Amino acid sequence: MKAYHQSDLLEVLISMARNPALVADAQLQAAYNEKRCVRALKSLRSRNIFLYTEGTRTSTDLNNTNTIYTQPAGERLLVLGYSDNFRYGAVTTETAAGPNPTALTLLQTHRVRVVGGNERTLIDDFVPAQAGVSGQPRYTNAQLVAPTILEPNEQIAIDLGYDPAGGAAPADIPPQAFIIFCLRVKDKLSALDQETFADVQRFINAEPVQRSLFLNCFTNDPSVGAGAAFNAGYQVTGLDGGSAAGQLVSCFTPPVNVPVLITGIGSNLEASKLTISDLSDGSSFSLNRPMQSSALNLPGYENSTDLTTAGAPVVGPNWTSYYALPMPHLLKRGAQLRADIVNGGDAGAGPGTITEQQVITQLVFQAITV
Amino acid sequence: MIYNEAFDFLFGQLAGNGVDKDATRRLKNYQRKRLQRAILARSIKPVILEASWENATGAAGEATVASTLPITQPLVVVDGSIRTTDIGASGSADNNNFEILMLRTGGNSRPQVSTVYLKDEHLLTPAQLAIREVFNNAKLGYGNCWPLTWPVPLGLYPNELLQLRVNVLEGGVPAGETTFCQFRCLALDKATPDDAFEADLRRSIEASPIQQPRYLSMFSEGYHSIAFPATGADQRTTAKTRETSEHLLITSYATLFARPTAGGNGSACDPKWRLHSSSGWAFSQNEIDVNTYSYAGPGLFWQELPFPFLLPKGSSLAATFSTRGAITTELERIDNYVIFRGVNV
Repeated sequence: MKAYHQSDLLEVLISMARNPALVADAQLQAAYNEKRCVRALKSLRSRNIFLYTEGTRTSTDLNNTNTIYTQPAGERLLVLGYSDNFRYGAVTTETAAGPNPTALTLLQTHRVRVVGGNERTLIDDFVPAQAGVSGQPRYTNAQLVAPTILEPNEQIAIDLGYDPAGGAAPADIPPQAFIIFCLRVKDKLSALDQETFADVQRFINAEPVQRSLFLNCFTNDPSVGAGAAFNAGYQVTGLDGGSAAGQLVSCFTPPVNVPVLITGIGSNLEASKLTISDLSDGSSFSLNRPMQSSALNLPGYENSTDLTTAGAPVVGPNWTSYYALPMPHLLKRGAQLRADIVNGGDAGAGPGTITEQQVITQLVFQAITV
Repeated sequence: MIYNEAFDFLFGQLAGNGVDKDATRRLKNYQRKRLQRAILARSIKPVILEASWENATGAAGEATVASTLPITQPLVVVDGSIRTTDIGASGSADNNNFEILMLRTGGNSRPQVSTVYLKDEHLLTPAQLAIREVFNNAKLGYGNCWPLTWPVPLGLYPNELLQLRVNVLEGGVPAGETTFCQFRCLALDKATPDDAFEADLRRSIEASPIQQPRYLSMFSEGYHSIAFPATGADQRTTAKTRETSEHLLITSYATLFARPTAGGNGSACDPKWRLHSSSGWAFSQNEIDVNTYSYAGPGLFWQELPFPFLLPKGSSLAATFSTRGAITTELERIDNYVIFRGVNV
C-alpha cells in the first residue's frame, strides 16, 4: 500500500559504475535528483495519520451489530486503506487476535461506513475480518481499491457483525482493533517547511545516490537481568511480560544527521499498544491515540523463549512484521522518532530473571536518505 | 493503476492546486483516463483456462499429458498458476517432484512456448515456499504459490490449446493427487459501438468526480455467505452479487472457503466454480478450481484481474459452485465467501 514510487537509483548506480570517476551521466543525475526533490516535497506536504478504533461485539443475535467509530480528525484526510488485528485460523476465541493462528475459523465480520457528512459506505456488505479484506498490512493488501476523502466532520464507522458459523461464545472474543490509514496533505508550506526543503535540496545536490538505513528504537537505559547473552543496547527493554498489563515504556531512534524518508516499520510487539511521534514537531502518527500493535504487524510465527542457549532464535522484526508506510515520512536532519509502548502483558515470562518481552522487543524503522 | 491515478488526483486537490487552471486540466485528464479505461474494458474481458491432471501412481517415471480446452477466439495469455491439492504430510515441496513442458498446439509455424522441461522448483521462489510452509502449518491451504510468469504475454489463436507434458521425477509425488494449472487470459470481445452507452459512461463519470471503492459480496439464497445445501459429497450451489446501481470496473476478487479445523491441508471439499455476469460474459469455459488463482492468505488474498471488468449498471455477477471432495463440517458448508472489489467508472 505504497504511494511512494522507487526512484531511478539503479540506473544512476549503473551509470556511475561505468565511469572510472564514479560519476553518473549528468542528464541522468539531474533527472534523478529532480525526482528525489519531488518525492521529498510530496512527503514534506504529507503526514501519515492513522485513525484508530477498537471494540468488541457482544451479542450472538445475527441482527445485532455493535458500531465503533474513529474520532473526527478535524481536517480533510485522504483515506488509503485500513487493517485490523484479527488473524487467520482462530480455532478458539482466545486466539482470534493472534499471535499464532492454528486453524481457520471465521468469527467476526464487519462493514465500513462514513458518517457525519456525506454519509456513504466504503464496504457495503459484512465481510469476514480475518479473511484479509482488512487484515494486517504487511500480509494483506489493506489498500482500498481507490482512495477517498474524509471531510473534517466525518468519521469512519465500523459495524461489527458476527459469524454464527464460528460457534464461539462472543464474550470471549477480544477487542477488534482497526487502523484507518490516512494522509493529511498540506496546502501550503510553512517557513519552517521551506527551510527543511532547502536543506533537503542541498543534501540531494551533495549526495549523488540514496542510501538505505535502519533506525532502531531503543530505551535510553537498557538495564536487564543477569546472564544476558545478547546486547540489549539496541532494543526496547523494560517491558516485563510477567507483569500486569499497562506498563509504559518510551523509546527513541537516534537523531538522524541527514534528512531521511522513513519508509517502513518492523517490530515484534505482541498485543501491546503503540504510539509513534516525530519529536521535531511533536506530531503523532495516530493523533496520540495508542494503537494495538497487532493491527500493524504480525509477530513471527515461531516464538522462542530459549534465552539461555547461544544462537537460539528469538523473535524479531521479520518479513511477517514489516509494514510499509503509505507515504514515506520525512524526518528532518537532527530529528528523532519516539515510540510509546504500553505493555499488553500477554507475552509470558522467559527463563530466569529475563522475561521474553523484556529482551526481545524490537522496533525498527526502515529509512532511505532523501 | 486506478489507485495511483485517483491518488494523484486527490493529492493534488488537497495540496491546494484546485484554485488555478491546473485543476481544470487535471480533472479533464483524470476523467478522460476513466472514460478510456471504461470503453476499453467494454471490449477486453478476462478468461481463465484450466488444465489438470491426477497422478495415478505417483511413482518416478509416470508421465501425463494435460491440456486446456480449445478456444474459439484469440486470447492473450497473461500468466499462470499451479496448485496441488495435497503436498504431503510433511508439507514440503519435495513431495512434488515433477517437471513440466508447456506447449502450444495448433497448425502453425510459430515458435513454441518452451522447448525444455521445467522442474517444479523452477516455478517456486524460496519466499513463496516459505509462505507455503507457514500456511501449511496453519492449515490454510496454499493455492497460487506457484506462479507461472513470463516477460511478455503469450498469444493463442482460435482452436489452439496449451498442452502440459508432466514427468514425475525421482522422489515421486503423492498418488491420486490432482494438480491444477490455470492461465489467466484476456479476450477481445468485439462489442459493437454503442454511442448511447458511451454517453451514459460519460455522464456517470461527470456525475461522480472521484472514483470510490466498491465491494460486492456473493450470497447464496437465504444466506449471508456462499452455502452448500448439505454436508457430504457432490454438493452444488449457486451464488450471486446484488445488481449494481452504477457502472463498475471490477478490479479484483478474493475467495475464502472454510477449511476443517483439524487435519488436512487445503480445503477438504475442494470447490470449483464458473463465474459469469448477467451482462453476458463467462469467465471460464467450464467449472474450474477455485483455489488455483484465489487463496485465502495474507498478501495473496486479492486476485487482480488482468484488466478491469466492466460491470454495467443493473448487472450482477453470479457463479455456480460444486465440490470435488466431501464437505465434512457445517462450517465448510456455510462459511464461504467470494468478494469482488472495484470502483465506479
